[in-house]
Amino acid sequence: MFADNAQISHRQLFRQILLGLSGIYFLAVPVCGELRGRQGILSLLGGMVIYLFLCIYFIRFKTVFRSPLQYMGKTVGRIFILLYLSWLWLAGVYLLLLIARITDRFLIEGSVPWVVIGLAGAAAYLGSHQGLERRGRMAEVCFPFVMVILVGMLLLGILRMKPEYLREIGPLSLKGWLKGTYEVCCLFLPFVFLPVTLGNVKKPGETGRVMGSAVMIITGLQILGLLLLQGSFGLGGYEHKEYPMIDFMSGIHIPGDFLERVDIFWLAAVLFSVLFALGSIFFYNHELLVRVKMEKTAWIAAGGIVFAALVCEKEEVSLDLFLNVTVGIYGPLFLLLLLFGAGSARKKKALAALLALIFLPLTACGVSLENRVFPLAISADYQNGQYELIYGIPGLTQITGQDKKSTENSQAQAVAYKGKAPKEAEENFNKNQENYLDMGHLKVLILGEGILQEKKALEELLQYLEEKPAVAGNLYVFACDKPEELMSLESQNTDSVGEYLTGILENNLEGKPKDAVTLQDLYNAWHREEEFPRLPIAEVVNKRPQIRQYSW
Amino acid sequence: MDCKISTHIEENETYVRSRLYNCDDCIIRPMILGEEKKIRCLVVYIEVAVSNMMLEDSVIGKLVNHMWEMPAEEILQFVKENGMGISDVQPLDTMDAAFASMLAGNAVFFLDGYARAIKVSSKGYPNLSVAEASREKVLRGSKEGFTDAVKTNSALVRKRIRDTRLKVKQKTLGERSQTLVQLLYMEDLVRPELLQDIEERLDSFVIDGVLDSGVIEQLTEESWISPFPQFQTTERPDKCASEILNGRILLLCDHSPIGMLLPAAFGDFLQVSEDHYNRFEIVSLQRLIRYAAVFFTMLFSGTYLAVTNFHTQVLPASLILSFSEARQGVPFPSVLEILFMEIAFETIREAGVRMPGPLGGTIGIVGGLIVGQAAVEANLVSPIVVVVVAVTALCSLAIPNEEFSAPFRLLKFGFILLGGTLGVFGILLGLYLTASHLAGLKSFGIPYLTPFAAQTKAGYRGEGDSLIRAPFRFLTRRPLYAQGNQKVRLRMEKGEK
Repeated sequence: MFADNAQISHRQLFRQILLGLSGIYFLAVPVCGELRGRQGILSLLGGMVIYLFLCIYFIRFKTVFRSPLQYMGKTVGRIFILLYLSWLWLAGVYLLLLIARITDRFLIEGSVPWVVIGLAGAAAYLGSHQGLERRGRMAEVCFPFVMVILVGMLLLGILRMKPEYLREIGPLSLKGWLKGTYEVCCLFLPFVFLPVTLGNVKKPGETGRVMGSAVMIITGLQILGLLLLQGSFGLGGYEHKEYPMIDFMSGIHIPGDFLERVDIFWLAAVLFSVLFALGSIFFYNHELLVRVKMEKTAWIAAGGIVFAALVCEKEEVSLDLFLNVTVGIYGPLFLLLLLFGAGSARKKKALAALLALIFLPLTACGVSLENRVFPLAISADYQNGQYELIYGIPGLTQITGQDKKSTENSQAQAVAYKGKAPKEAEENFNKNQENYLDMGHLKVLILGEGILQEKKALEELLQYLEEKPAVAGNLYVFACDKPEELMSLESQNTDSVGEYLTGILENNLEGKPKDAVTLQDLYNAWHREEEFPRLPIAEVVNKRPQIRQYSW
Repeated sequence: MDCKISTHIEENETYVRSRLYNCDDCIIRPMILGEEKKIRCLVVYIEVAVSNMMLEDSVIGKLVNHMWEMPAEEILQFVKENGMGISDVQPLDTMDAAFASMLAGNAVFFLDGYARAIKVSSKGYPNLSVAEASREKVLRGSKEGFTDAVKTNSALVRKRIRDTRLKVKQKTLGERSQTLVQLLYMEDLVRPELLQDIEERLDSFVIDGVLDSGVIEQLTEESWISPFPQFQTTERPDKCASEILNGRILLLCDHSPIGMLLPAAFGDFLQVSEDHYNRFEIVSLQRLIRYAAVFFTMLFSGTYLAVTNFHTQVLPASLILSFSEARQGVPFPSVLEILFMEIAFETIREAGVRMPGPLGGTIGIVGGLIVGQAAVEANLVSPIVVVVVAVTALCSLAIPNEEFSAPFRLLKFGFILLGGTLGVFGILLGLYLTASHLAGLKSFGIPYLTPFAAQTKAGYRGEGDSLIRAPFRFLTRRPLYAQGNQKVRLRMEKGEK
């Protein structure tokens, strides 16, 4: 039939590149040391120019990969391909670890890493072994969905930017720029695998434009990402973060506010992209081994990648190691190897392999709704070397209007717990509560006078909150002389303190939200070593919360 | 060994009686014809299929009555020359051919001194007459639906395409059932390799009986393990005619009121015949709803579990608190709760399909009241789960093709387990695997995800008739199924805009 020619179109190639690489770069680029401020942008542009130039060579080098043994001889050809493969395996391990860690941190708290790695490896492998056409069609169909989410939410993120942060252009030096450009070149190494595919692309000689467009779009997206990070966190505000883009997304609102947090969609799109990249790694692994007549070992190599990821996870190997190896060893090596070349690709045969289902040992890691408590307000104070956290938990019956049978969860309560550290206070809460503490709906943070006067204690609290992905950066922060009195309103059959204070801020035309201080503002001030902003004061008037003036 | 027909009527009668031993529904009627009663003959037929042979107004009756009064010497000549001018009289050389004709519902004549048998068509086996299409109702367009008789069905298509370029290729499948199968296509539109492919596949198996087109479907599809249908089924002749004009092939099978169109791609299953009869704005909206329904059917329950068990921060606080309150006192984990309700829905659906018409409505009320309201009141399930399952059920019913809806209902259970145990990560894994499977699936060489994938590769950029439908006057090109040199299907005359 017309479609059975083992070739993909330019459009499919373009979408494969973007779908496979855009997600991973959003995670990898912002954590690179030299890619900050204007230097980061210039470095990305420098890397882009180099790769635009290299695209011409990729077309020529496709002949090398078509028949490496014929072109370079049996021994050299195999060494050459195994060298390529070794980086591929390294990247596979990196991606599996990345998936496991992101899943554990942002998606399934307390997940079993080997299960996540096994499942991700199996899913990616199952999607990879039936040829380039299949991957092309998959990319063609999935691309719009993933890109709409990724780019759409980036655009929504523009609203989070602060002009004063954008004006901080950061340092720029020739050495830094060169180093940054080199880092970008190393990060863009996946492009050097394109010659493997080009032999199977319709009119391969005309693919330069497609590859060039892909390089430019990826660079553009990364530049936009850097601008957003800087505009939102300020220079120096996100360097310490492990996944700055994910943290950035936690503050995005969609118009209408019919969903409270939408960062999960962005994360899902990124993870899908990473899964596709992992599938591509398994595909190239199989494809390259076929070309050196070692295809029977493909499944062993794939299994080895998963096994290595499991070992690395057990040994808690840092993800930075993979980036360092790429920058230190493979980057220069591959760029040198690009000086050799000739060839095109061969028609592939599918190799079916099915990994065993590993759902059986899975237990439901999630916590059912009825077993959760949702504090909408939390107050923190610090006195005599001890933190006191008061959780304002609304009564479900009051707040939902439903008349279910009375349970503990149905009653509003304000419960206080103490500890030498915020974490310890939370642990004390957990010891005393049958339900899971879900901080995903926290609306306000109330800081007592004691903690406001102890800067170190406040910083420890901020660190504690920042490490909790469930706590959004856009929750409002207030100061309060008597947090106990304010939080006690929670249990007095009035509206939830969290809802009430938010309502005052957002619905009162006089008290505009722009005057409010969010948790993200405190994070930024802390990381940038600036003075903390003045907080609005919440107090109790006529047994109701009220916002009056500013602290400090 | 194929047995030749003898010129001696006694030998033929002995043979026929030996073959039809204990076949009490088959009538063997010896007769002596001619004015002087000299010519012996034998009529063999199936009782119900040729019940009225002696009636004056039947073709066979007229034939016999006529020969009754003829001189004996003229009868043979009369038969050889088909003196009655009966339209479907066919001489048969062998006994096997004679029996095949008889078993197909015709009467077979053996005449003494004549080494051939004569097939005289009759009304054939009893069948339902043409009735309204029950599975694919439309507000606008023909109400006719296919029947169980393949020839009636092909006639219904021919009625709509009165062109000799519409070809009907016929073959029998099933060693014992001898089921008639027809391939209908436009000679100049169909891709030759597609026609060759389906013919090869039909010849690729030997089976004792084909009792429905579903058997052929399962034996000829490319990926037998996939739950997704690779033939598009329909019971509407107008839909078939429209698709044949797009270059597709219609496969009709005797005893089945379902026509199978091939190749079939994802988008085809979400189109209905009246899509081309109504205005494009409305149709486009309906299409979008159908596509959304596919995703909701598959994902809604699983996503609900993922959000409520893992990612509560997605929903507004008031909503999540409301859900939480609704869950208070429910004894089962939410995964079990939703599985219970989904299985209950599938059971109601299954029961409703098998129930006689008047009872079907009762089943709906029983399901709605007992499984819904009573289960909520007994605190077996929370109200929100009833809403989730109801939305999922509605969406599955909004998918116009039942065979296409089924795999998504099946996948729904997978997504429930994935979403309930692994949250959004599980949903992602499921989506990745589903996308990967669909990307690899083909129907007779056409990628299943066409026209969303492999468009440019096929030299085809979409005819504006997929996710949305362009105004009819712009649907000038046929879809990619048609031959490359037959792309134009509509040309506006000069002056028209």
